[in-house]
Amino acid sequence: MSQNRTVSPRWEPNPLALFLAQLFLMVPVLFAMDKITPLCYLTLGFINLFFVAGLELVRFIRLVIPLSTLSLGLFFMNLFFPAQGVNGLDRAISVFLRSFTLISLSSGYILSVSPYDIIRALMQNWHLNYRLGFSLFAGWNTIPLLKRDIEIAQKAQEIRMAGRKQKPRASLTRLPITILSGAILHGERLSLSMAGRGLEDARERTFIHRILWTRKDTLYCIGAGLTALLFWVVLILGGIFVFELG
Amino acid sequence: MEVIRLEGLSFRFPGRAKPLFKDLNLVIHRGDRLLLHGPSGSGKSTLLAILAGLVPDHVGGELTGSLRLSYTRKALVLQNPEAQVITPTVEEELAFPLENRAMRVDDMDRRITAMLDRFGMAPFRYRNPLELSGGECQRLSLAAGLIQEPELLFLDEPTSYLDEDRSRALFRDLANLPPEVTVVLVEHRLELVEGFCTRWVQIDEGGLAEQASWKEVLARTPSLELPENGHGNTTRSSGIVADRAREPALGPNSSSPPPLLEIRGLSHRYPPSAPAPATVTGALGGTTAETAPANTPVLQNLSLSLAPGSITAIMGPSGSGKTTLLKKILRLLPVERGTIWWKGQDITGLKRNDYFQNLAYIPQNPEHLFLEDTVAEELALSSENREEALHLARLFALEHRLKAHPFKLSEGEKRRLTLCIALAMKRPLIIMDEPTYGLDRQGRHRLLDYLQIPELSSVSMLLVSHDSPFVRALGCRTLLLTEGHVEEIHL
Repeated sequence: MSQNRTVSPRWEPNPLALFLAQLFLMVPVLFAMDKITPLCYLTLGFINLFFVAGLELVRFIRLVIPLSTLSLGLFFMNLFFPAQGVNGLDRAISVFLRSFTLISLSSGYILSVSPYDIIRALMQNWHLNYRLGFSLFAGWNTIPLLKRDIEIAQKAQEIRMAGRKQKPRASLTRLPITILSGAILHGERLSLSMAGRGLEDARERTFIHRILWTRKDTLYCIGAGLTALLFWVVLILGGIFVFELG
Repeated sequence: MEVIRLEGLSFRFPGRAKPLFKDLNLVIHRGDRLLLHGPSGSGKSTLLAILAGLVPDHVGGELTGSLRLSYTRKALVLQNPEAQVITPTVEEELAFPLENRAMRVDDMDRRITAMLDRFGMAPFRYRNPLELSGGECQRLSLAAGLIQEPELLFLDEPTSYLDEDRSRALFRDLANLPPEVTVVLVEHRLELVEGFCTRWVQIDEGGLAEQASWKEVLARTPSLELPENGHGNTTRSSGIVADRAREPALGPNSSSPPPLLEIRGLSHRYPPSAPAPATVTGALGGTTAETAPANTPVLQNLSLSLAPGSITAIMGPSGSGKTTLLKKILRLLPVERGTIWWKGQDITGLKRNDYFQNLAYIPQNPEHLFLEDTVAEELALSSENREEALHLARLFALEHRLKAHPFKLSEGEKRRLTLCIALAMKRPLIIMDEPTYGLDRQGRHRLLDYLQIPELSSVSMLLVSHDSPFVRALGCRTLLLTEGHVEEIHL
């Protein structure tokens, strides 16, 4: 049956439940300026991502390594230009760990869940407006089409300008205009297509691809929230957690 | 029983002083099969949207007069199938209109299975529609329309991405619709709708004129089937060298004069993770589609050659590898050594710039070629001689549009401008991807004339097209690409 397609033998969290769980783990890190707090929540987040959400390690590494250059930048900035009276190395490590944890947990979530499933779950579980939801679907679909159009337009223009002195102004400005005008036209047609298939009249609609929010998801969210809170309390009471905003 | 009635209906786009339609009167009855025809830009698609009740809410503009729509279930199939893809799977695409009606999932499932079987698309059920070929995507759009069991079916150029066989199969399938289903369609390829339509309405200069008979329709439009000026007997085809697939590859050591472009033993397969366009599908409503495994070669040991001054058309069913072949020639995909030769030189040994200096490429969307703000600047960019540019503009009937922005031209004018640019570039080979896409019957006819002007006689042309009547009328060498192999055919 189609409505059971998303129910696999192994329980997988609802994309929104996973989102909430990751959010609960990220909140204490946002306010922490010590080294232990980010490490604790990074470990919890990894357990959540790799063992609960089934994230692939290789995909994760491929995304996080380039993104973590931002954390490295912050590290060196704090190391070489510390504020007066602050231990540069100490602060640089804390800032690095905080930003690296936030980057890892958020990008890990994005890789764990299909963007389409997030939108489906938003429409089905959190009542996102259908028109907005399907516009997001269509927008996501448009990305590979735009990529293809850019590729073809670039090739056509490269061939046209071969052997000639390049006109930088024209080639730089024309391509985005061409692609954007195509994208606007595409958007208009999509809007017409959605309306022509009755989306405007749909007050209540059914979904062949259902994303269910089960009792397990509720328990999972509560569990993740309580764990995050418990660790936070322990870290605060143990004098480890150092609060700093920004 | 009336399903649509227009009385004194006028429509104007926002910001335009002149109305697109003025005082339209039309009555459509249940079971009518009505063809809307007319030149490009006459407003056929807009009228279709008006009849589908989508104007002005979704198109904008000002609608005055009386419009009475007495139907509840409609389906609209647009010209560009990609522009209709909303969801990430074929299954959800078919389910979309049914979900909007809050249909039970079990019922949806049954309808989807039946529709996929009817269109021979069962293996595609969980594929991303955007990974399908244009033809497959077009059939999906039609299936998504018919699955709604509409009272009224609006079709806007439903064959624009289909080859001739599939186009005819589509109309055979449409002929099997229940007689109470009303069909209103826009179609430039009149040869396809003969026998299907029962009413014919022409749109031109803001008004409607109904024709009493098919003969009258044909009398108002130029025919590609019966060329008036000797198309099909052109001497251009004689300049083509035979495909010497079994002869040794021409290379730098060959003694015979090399062809302009030569392809020897070209193969290509997409990696398993990539979309596999190599699908072999049955005709619409016919046999079941077979999805080729992702690692099946799209092109298999393919060989062909083009002589100077020749015109060659490559045709083939959707997903047969036409696009892949073009991408290889244009070096949009990696080219293996010794597979593509330019005047006896392996192109992998040539600098990209040196190779591209010999080509003029006209993409399917003409706008992708434009770089400047006016037609005159476009021509000046391609031709160093101003007089020559003006001569070309005159030749292609563009002299009155020299100050116009290239994007503001009609589809036919854009296509003519691309030809103008290609000619001004003075390259020995012009490659055209679907040159008749978006052109009405008159536009196709004019393009046919332009492709045979003496100025183009020394230039080789390679066309990728699924427009059989156009290629037949052009009378050029025609190669059919199927399952990765190429063979010469006579249309």
